[in-house]
Amino acid sequence: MYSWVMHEFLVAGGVVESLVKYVSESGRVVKSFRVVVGELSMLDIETLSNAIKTLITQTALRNAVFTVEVEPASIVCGTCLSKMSFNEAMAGLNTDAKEVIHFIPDLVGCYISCVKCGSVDLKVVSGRWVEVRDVVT
Amino acid sequence: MLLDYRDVLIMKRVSQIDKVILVAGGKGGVGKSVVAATTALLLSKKFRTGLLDLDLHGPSSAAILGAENSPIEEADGIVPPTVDRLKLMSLDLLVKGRPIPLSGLSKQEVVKEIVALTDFGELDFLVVDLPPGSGDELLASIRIFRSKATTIIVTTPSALSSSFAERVITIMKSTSVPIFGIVENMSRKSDDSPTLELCQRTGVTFLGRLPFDEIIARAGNITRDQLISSRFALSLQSILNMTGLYR
Repeated sequence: MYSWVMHEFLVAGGVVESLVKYVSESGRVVKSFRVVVGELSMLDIETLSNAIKTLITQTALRNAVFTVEVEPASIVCGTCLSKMSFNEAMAGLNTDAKEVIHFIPDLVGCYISCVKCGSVDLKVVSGRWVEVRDVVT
Repeated sequence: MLLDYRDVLIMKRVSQIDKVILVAGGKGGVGKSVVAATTALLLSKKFRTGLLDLDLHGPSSAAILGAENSPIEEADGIVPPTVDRLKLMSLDLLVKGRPIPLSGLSKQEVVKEIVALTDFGELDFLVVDLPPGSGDELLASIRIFRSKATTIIVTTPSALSSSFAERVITIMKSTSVPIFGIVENMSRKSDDSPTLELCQRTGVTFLGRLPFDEIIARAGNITRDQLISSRFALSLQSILNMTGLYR
C-alpha cells in the first residue's frame, strides 16, 4: 500500500524547505545542521540523507554540512512506569501496524501494550519524529 | 535552534484551501460529527471539499459516510480516499477501529502530523470535525487554520449543552477565528430554546434548527443516500443556502 522511500522524500523536502525559509527570513548563511530522526518513524537514514544532499544543491544551503542521526525511542507506561525500547515495542507487529507508526509515530499505543503490565496507557518520551537541530550560521 | 519541518508542509497545505469550517461544540453527543459529515457531503456536490476528522479518540466520520478505503501515499503526501466527491481523512481509516489512547502532547503531535502529511490538494472547503470540549484538538486547529477558518457551533436545546457551548464560544472569541454561528440540533422548535438565549447572550448568530431525525439516529448504519435525503440533511442544506457560507 505504501512506499516508505516516498515518505523519506517528503520529509527531506520539508527539512530543506524549512531551512531555506529560515535563510530567507534571517538573511544568514547556514554552515551546518543536524537532522535528528526519531527511531519510531522508521525512516531509512541513507535514503533521507541522500535526498537532503540532492535537494540542497539547488538552494542557498549547498555549502552546508549536515548529519542525519537516529534518536532512540523511549516509551513509558503510565500505569507501572516501565520503560520500553524500540525493539520491545515493535516485537511481533505486522507490516500494516508498522506502516501506520511510520507515518504517525504517536499512534504506537494503538498497536502495543506495556510488556510488564499490559496497559495501553503509553507515552512516547523520545524518538518520535524528525527535527532539525543545531543550525549553525 | 530547532526547526519543525512539518510547519512548512502545514503552511503549504493550508495555502491550498480557500475556507476552513471548524465544527465544534462543548458537549458530547450533540451531533457534531453528523453535522460535519453532512455539511461536507452537501458542500462536495458543488465545491471541492474535504473532511478532516480530528475527533482523535472517537473518529466517526468514516463510519457515518460508509468509507473504508485507506489513504494512498503519493509523492506529495498521503492522499485521502474519496467518498462520492468528498475527500475524507480520519485516523480510523488508518487504525481500522482500534482504540486510540493518546494524551496531551501526543494529541498535538498527531494533529500536526495528519495535517502536514495529508494531501487534500486544492479545496474550496475543508470541514474539520472536532471532539467535544476545548482541548488539544481545538487549540491545535485554531493555531493551524486561523488564517482561513470560521466556526460552526453545534448544540442541542438543553441548558447543559448551551452551557458547554458557551465555554467554547468564549475560547473562540479570544482568538482571531470568527464564529459563523450556532446550529441547534435535535431541535424541538420551541421559542424558549436555551439556544436562542445563548445567541442573545453571546451575540453569536443563530443559524437555524435541525430536527431530531430517526434516520440520523441510526447514523453509521445507513447509506449515504439515506443520509443525504433525510429531513436533517434537507434542513442543513437550507441553513447552508440561507447563511451565505458559500460566499
